[in-house]
Amino acid sequence: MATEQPKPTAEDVKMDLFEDDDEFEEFAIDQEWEDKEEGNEVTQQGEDDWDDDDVNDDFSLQLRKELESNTEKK
Amino acid sequence: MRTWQLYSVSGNVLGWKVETVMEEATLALPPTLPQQHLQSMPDLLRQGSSRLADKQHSSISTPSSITGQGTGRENEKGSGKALNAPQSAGLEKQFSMFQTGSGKAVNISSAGLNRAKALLGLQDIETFPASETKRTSSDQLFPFPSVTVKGTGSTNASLSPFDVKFTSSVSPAEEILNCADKPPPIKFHTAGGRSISVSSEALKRARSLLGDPELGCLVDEDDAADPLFSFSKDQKSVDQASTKELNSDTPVSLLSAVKGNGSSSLFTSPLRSTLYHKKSSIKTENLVPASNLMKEFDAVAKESTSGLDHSIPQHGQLFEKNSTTMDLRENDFASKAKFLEGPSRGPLVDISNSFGAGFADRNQNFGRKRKPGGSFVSPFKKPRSANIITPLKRNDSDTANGFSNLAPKLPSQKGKVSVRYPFHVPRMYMKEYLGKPLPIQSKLESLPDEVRRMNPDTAEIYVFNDKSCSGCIGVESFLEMLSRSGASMQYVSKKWVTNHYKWIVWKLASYERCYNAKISGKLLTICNVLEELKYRYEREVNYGHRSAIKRILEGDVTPSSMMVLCISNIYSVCDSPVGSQSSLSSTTENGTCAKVELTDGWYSIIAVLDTLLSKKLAAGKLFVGQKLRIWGAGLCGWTGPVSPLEASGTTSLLLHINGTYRAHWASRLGFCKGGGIPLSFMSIKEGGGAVPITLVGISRIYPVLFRERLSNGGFIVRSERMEAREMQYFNERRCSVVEGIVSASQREKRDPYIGSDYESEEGARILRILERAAEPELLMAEMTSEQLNLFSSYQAKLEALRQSDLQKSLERALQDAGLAERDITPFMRVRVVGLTSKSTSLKCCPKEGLITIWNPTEKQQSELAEGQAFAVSGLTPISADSSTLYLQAKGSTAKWLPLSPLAIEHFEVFFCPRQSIPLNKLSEVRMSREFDIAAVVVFVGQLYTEAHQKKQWVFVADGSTATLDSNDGSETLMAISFTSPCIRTDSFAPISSNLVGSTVCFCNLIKRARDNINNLWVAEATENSTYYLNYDHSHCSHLKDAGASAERWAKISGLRLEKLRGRVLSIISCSET
Repeated sequence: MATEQPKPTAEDVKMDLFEDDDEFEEFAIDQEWEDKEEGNEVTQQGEDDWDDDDVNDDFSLQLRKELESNTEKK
Repeated sequence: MRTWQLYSVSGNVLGWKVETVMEEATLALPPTLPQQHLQSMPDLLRQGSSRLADKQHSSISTPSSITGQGTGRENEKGSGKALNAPQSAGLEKQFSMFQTGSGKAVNISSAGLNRAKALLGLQDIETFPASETKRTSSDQLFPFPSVTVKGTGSTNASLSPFDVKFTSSVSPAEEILNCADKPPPIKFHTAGGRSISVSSEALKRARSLLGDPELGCLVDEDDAADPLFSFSKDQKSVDQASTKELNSDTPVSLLSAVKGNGSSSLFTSPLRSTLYHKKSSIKTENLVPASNLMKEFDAVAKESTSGLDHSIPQHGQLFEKNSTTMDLRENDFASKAKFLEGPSRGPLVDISNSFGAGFADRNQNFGRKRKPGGSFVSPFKKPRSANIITPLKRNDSDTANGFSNLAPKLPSQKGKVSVRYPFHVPRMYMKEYLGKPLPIQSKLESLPDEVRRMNPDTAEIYVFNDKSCSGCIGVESFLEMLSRSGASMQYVSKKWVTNHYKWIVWKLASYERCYNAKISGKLLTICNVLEELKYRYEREVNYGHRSAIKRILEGDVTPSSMMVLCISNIYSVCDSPVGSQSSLSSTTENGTCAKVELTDGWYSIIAVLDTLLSKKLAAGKLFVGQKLRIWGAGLCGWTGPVSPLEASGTTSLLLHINGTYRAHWASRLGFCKGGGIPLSFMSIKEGGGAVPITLVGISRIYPVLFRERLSNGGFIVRSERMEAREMQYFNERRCSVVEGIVSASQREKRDPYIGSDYESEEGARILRILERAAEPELLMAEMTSEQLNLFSSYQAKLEALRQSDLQKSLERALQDAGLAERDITPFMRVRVVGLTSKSTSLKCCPKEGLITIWNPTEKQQSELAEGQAFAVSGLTPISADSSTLYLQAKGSTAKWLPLSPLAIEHFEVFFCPRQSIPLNKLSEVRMSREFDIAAVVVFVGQLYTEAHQKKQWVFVADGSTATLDSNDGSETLMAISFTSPCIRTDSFAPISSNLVGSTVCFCNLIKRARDNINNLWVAEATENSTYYLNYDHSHCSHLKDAGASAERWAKISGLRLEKLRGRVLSIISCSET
């Protein structure tokens, strides 16, 4: 059972290698919307976000294909 | 009873012997009279060593160095002199507690004491004198059980092992063996992981050994064995003892020597462990009775385990149970026990049993802080097994292989569980570390099937098949591992672990899937999962951090905050809140919405998609693994703060497409810091809900209008000018009603108010008298002050009543006349245009919008300016036509932040400034477009009703002549159609007829089809159109020159104007006939 010890692995612990996308930062949510980037170039959310398939480079597409193929395999 | 008698041999050399004294002589004396109390040798040594400890005399010579001397002389010269051993008082004077029986002070050098201790094996108490035999007896725990000896005294006496050694041949070990097992055993684990049962008696004895005063065992011989006073070891020796086998460095106890085989049945008791970890200098100076040791322990343990409240509640009970030994002691020393019961009872229950993997780092830190001279040695036997794993070692191995070797499962504690958080070393973000994903084809070959197909559902039931284990490792194993890592089960449940296990495994599997070549199975490991679980425990339990979904569900953050969440599941059918069950495709077709599950990596929440998002889902643009940037979401089915693990299935986020954008795969999950990226105005979908922020350029600002809600439920919109007139008219009507009521009330015969009380009656009487009196002033002069007061108060009452009556009748009358109040809402329309970045390749006509700002603030009215670009929050699209998107906003909630000129430079020019259009250039204005003109009013037509609207034609000319117009070169004429709502027969005309001949600046007129028959331009004045009588007005500065020019022309062209007027009249007469 799990109480028995597996052999210790010499691998690095993943958490030490890189920072994950779920390692949220604890901060106060500022309800007041402020334009802190005044003077800088103001970007806009996707000129046509939902119709542009390149919005996430090709990763999303790949992931989707993969998931679809997985579903088919089931 | 037996006591130690110390007597002087010669000089500093002392001899001592066991002497039996009358029991009464000892027991009758409480410790408050120490000078008459015969001390045991251990007592004496303790007192001596207390002094020594303070002076850091902690080294000891070879234990056997004085043995010969001591043993050679003992019992030889028993003079029978009673020892007069003071306790606390005696501590003040160095070594003066040793006195001869005759009262002579005996000086003992510290070296001598040390030697004596060595001789007695006091610093090696933990050496257990047991045999190889495995025993589960409680006695195994304790090296110095009290041994009952049928003494030479009148009663049984409780003796320490030293007694035994010197007075009899009974080995304590043998005595231990003789002890019967006492149920129930308490489970302990050895450092080597063996389980050891310890009886309550044993624990009790341990307690007594440590000087539990309640049990009355403190002043007896056992105290001599108390190793807490063996200050002989330095740090090094302690460490060695704990990590290595017992070796020759360690003084061997006499008892061990006697038995010669005290090296097995090793164990680590929680107490020992505590003592070991928390060892530090104990100020023995203040130790009066041994009981205070417990306090010291407690204090030290508490101090070192700050925040690790980890009491073992059973202890208190256990120690209250009697053992045979304790029975004896209690019988014998009841008075002492009673005496000491009070002061030191409190902390005893709270023996911190704080060892374990969970706070490995603390232990390490603690170890570094140890004071070199103040160490003490555990009272219990040192582990001697070669495979001993010290807590420190154990923790290291823990983190390395993800398993805890620590056998005891400890009760709840809130200690550090993950040493990784907070992270001290900056790490690369996953995107930088992992790089761009490789082409998908080559990835999946080497992956196990279950990893390849991993999704949150399968992740939850995923098990690791570890080769070194006989079984599979899944959620339950991780729960156990987490628990053994020090996580408190008070804060985490199986549900908690299951949830986080699911997200962690899914994440790690996803890494494996996309970066197989780089990772090749290194991420989805037991160790990594456990580390992540520990990290999450650390953050959530110890740091109180909460992920986005947790904060929202707990009601601390509005769901409208911007956050990135990941789609973790898709529920194909929406059963709420719109529509019935149907397939996904028909769902979207029917305009109903689909549901998905979103996660922030820590928890999940159901999200209801709006119609447009549901269509995107159906189109395959939303899928599991797609991250969404969500902003301005709503929350439905939420009744109050709830834990994400307990939230009902009906609690869901409401997503709409205008506030939901696809996010990059490497976007950080959770709340977004700082302002969000505005949604481009072009991307705003008509039915897509509120727009968090968008960028617009203001092309036109229209005048403030006033919408009146009518009593019949309808609305009427008026210009500011019309509203002012309407308001004036309204007030006039009100005034006439009020006047009528007031005069009517004045005409009414005043009924003197007669109240029922004395004051009113008397006041009324005085009033009546005064009214009838010929000279009321004279009467009043003769009235008493009381009468005057009554009269004046009556008058005031009367007046108040009259006012109140009048008010009521006024209100009634106004209500009847429909003049009670007006429900007016001001609003402002702003024409905007979407901003197009200069850098974008997408070049198309920017989208226009018309924003209605309800109840615009003063600030907005003054600060919004044509040509300025703004970032606007709080817009909601209402409808759209081919060219224009109609939006609305509340003045109070919508925020308009002007963009800096620098920022505006990044966008294409959107603004076409207003300009004056002379009539002869009107052909350049496109049909239905707005234009501004300064012109002279030639003729103002009659108001007429058409299709429930009041209409009025106004004819203007500006003196310009149409070059193409060959008809005698007469001036160009324009007819402007004004429309006003038709609600009353006496409606005001939009343009007063007395404006004829004046120069007027018209703004926002709409160009209509030219009347070629009558050879005139036609324009329409809409709600948004306005006019200014003064061309110096700030809003028509662009018409200033044109206005001045038109005015000049009018002044000199009286004849021409008359001619034009005649032309207008002929047109009108023609149209009428």
